[in-house]
Amino acid sequence: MRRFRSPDKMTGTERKGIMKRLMKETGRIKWGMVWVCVLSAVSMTANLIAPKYLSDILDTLNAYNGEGNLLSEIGNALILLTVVYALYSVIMYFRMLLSNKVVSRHFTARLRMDMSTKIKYLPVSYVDKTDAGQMLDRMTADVSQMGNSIHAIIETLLMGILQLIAITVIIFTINWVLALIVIAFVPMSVVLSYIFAKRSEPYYDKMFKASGDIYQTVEETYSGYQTIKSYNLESLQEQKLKMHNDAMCSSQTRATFMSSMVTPLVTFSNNLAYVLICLIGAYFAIKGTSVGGNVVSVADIVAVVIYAKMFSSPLEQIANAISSLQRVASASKRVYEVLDEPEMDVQTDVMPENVKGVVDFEHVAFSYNPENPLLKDVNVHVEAGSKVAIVGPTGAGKTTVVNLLMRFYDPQSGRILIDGTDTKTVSRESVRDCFSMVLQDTWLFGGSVYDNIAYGKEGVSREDVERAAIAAHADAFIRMLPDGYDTVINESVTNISGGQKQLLTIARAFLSDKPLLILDEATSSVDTRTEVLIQKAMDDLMKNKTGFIIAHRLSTIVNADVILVIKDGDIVESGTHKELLAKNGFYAEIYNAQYKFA
Amino acid sequence: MFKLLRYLKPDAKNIIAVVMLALVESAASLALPYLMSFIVKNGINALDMRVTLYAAGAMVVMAAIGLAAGIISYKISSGVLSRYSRTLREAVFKKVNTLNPDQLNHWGTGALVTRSTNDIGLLEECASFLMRGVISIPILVFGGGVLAFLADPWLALIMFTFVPVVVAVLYLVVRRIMPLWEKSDEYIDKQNSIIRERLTGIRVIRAFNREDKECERANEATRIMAENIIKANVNMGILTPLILLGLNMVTVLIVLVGAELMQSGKSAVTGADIIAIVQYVGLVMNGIMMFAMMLAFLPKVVVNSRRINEVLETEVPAEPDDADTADFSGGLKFNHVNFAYEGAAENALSDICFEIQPGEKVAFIGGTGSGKSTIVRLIMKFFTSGEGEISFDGRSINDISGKKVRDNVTCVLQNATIFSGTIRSNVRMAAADADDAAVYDALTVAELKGFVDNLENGLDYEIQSGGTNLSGGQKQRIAIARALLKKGSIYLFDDSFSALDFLTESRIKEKLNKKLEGRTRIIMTQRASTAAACDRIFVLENGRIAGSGRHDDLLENCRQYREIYESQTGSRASEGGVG
Repeated sequence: MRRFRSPDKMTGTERKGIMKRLMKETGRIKWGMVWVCVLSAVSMTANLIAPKYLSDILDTLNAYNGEGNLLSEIGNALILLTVVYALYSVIMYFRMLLSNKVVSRHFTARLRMDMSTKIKYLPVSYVDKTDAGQMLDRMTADVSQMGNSIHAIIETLLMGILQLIAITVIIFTINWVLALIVIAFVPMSVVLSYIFAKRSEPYYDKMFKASGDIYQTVEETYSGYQTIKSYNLESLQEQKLKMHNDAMCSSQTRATFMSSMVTPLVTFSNNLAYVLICLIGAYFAIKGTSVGGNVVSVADIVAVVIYAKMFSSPLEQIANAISSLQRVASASKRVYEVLDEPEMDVQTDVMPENVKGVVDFEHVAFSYNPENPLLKDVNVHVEAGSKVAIVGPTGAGKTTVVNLLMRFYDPQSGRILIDGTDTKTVSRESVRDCFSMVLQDTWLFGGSVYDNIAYGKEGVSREDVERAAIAAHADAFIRMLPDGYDTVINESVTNISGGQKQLLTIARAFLSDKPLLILDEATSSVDTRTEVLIQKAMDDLMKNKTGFIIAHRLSTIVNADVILVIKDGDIVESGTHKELLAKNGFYAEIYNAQYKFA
Repeated sequence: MFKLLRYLKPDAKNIIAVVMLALVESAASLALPYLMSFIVKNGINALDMRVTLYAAGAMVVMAAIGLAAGIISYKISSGVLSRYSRTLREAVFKKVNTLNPDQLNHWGTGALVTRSTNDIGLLEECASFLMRGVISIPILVFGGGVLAFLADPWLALIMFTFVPVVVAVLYLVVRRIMPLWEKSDEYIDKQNSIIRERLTGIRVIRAFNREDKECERANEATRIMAENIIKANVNMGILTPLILLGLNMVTVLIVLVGAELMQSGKSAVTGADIIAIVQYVGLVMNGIMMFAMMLAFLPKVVVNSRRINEVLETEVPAEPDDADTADFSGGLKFNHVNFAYEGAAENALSDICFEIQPGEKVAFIGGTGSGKSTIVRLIMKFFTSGEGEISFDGRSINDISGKKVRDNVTCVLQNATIFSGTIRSNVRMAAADADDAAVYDALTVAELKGFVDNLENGLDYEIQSGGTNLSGGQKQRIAIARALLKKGSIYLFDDSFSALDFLTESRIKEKLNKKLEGRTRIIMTQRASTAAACDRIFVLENGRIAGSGRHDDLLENCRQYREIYESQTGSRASEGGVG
């Protein structure tokens, strides 16, 4: 299938390394492949013997002069031919069955599961940088391409070469002069294929480039349709598409023409061989010349013609297999890139039980990229059970604090301690087990409303889920959904608003009852009246818990025990709402900005 | 699947040429075995070298004709197919651009992207296969058949009894495979959506330590998918050996019956005839095998064509042509407007009435689901259905084209899209001729000049697709700057400051007030502080207007507004409220 993406540039050695690895990787299916090869060899033999029998029979028919019992003369050969044909088909079927299972089940599916499992061990930073669509593309299309190439290797490359050798031997035993003609035309086909493949390459490169551009334009236009429409940019985008589309059209025309030229040219060269065999064969037959000790018969000519035709198909297939192998290099590269990503380090120690919730940041420094340090030297001590609000301008690194607390990211230097345990020294799972969390980015998966709430905890009862929903003020709207708690949330969640989604994630956090709580813009999409209600519930939820709250809305945080004001990578102020207002510093400036009514 | 063929019409002449050329090519390839049997009969068996030479010469000529016809037909057909996919892509793209948001959501942008790119690519590939197949298969089958018939009608008959058997087998196999392919497609989708969820929801999944479970779920889908693919392939794979077996048996039968006829003398059939017929069987076999391969493509072609055609045949209401009519002066009126989204049980807007004078600055305040975004969509004419009347300067929106509306109304969306390109190209999207001074001016108002000045490339800073190398706040500010370069008498801000902190927001608003003085401004917001700065405020609740007036009046008379205000200022929750 054509891929709408620009091609990856690769060096020769890189390509070699990848191909080597792909070959090595097929080691996991080596026994299956050995069996496939054995079956292939048998069916190939059957396929090669058949024309010999057939041509002998036809020769007998041609030489028949009306005397003798023709049927008994050819009878045995005919029965043998029937058996060979039957054997050929049966073995061909089993070979196909086997190679299919081997490749699909033990190679393609395994590779997909390897990639899927790999996701478990990838750091969040990798996933943040990676486009989900691209990852899926690698898991589906690229892996398919690899599977097809393995198929091609087994089916055509290996067998094709064997078949070529066998046919060569057979035609030489029939008539070496005619055989030479067949062989003489082989280089011609190969050279022709090579020339046109080479010539079409730059056009294919251009075509892939154009298709990548088309994909980007289309994707961007559709996902930004509201913006496009608001600014009447449809015709601008259409022009953009037309440009890439025209480039695609012209390079594609040339590329496909160049590569399809091979077929008529190779056919022509085969036909020339065909004519020469007929002509020279006929000359020998008419003159009664003997070649290699045998008088040339019509059967010989027929046999060589049939074999010569068999000769061209593996040649063509080998050419195809080689070109598909070249394409597979880029696909394999993209797959191996994912599999080779460095994994997270693993800690076997776990957090001590009964976490109280004392949190310390000691000289914590962090940045997503070195040029732009986000946190420079953060030192905070948070008592168990207190509520901490994190405040600061956009991009100051508020969400980063969450990323560090939950160990989605680790600080470059400094330590984060929970109850005195450095979280870096214990497993991520055990750290996360201490937290309940509601994020700005409401994430619901394809499943029922019930399943989505119950996600927070295993083995909960229906009552628990409903209680959590009631606490989060989600119960009322859930009951109004077509199937209540069993309403299935699909990919394009249209029946639930942004605010309702947020309520569901809040219910989820209510259900999972952990000593620490993170609320990152948890109520940003909830309308203010609901927020007041939730706020009360949240207060209940936060009782005896250490809570970290991030919000733009200052009203959400005025009641916090400590407010941390982050600016330019440092905590510039900390204290209660009243203390900070009295200080009349940066916090006061932010606060007044909100309520400076015109 | 035939409906999409209409896009081939402009190339009808070329297609006819391809058909004719393929005819020539196939005829030439059929001539070769015929000439060979001629050589056997009249050359070798008659010991005539001259006839052999002539026949061989004729074979070379035929081969050359075949070559020429092949090359020319490939030359033409590669152009036809590339143009075909180009036309289809353009048609789908243009169509999607006219759809309304409901129609877009019906498929989802992801599915529409696939339909505009990969689906068309696949269709084109199949079309190239079909185009050659449709022509050469009948020629091979019937040509081979006729030639065999001429050689010996009785033997040819054996060959033809086989055809219905093949067709029956094909039918049965395809019928079995279809549901299997559908099922494997279903699990491909399932696997993909689980993986997508695992990537987009990685924080939540990890926070709940559910990674193992999710991984198992994905692997299970992969496993089921693989088993279904295997089943389908196994069913499909039986075709080739079965057809080969049948055709080989036909060869055996022909030889047997031929020998019988020769021996009994019931027919004048000769050995050379049988040699020829066996070769024709080979040609017919090729044709039927190609047909079987085409059938394997068929389910995909049918599905793909249907998917593409669905988009193309979506009905879009016609728009009036009003490019030359006057621009708006800034007056807007909603008169008893009701609106419900497709499939929704309740109205998103009920009985909305308001009138805004040119130059007024009004706010709509309300929580999510209160109907703010719906009002924006109706003003922008993203949707056309609904009861009641919306009018600009007294002209009904139904008599104005969407383009005209959007030319006059500038909107900053909550989730404005940032396009790949540079900061410059993004800011001046609506004003291609704006110079850098104008761009900087807009960026200054949007509080983004400092950010751009610190960038090495300044305005040429490359923005990645989807704006992934910008923060949410930076994206919103680019959207604001972009709107400032677009002319218009009405400016709509749909929660356009939501990702900004209050400090930045207040600075921007201060500059906006100066910049847009005298134009109509409509601000959708959840923040009382934003609303309070406007001439008039409409309070929205559940799609209805719950109250309207100035900040102070509403504080006194409107319960809903008071609640919003109090919750935000915390004047009840805490003692530190500001009056």
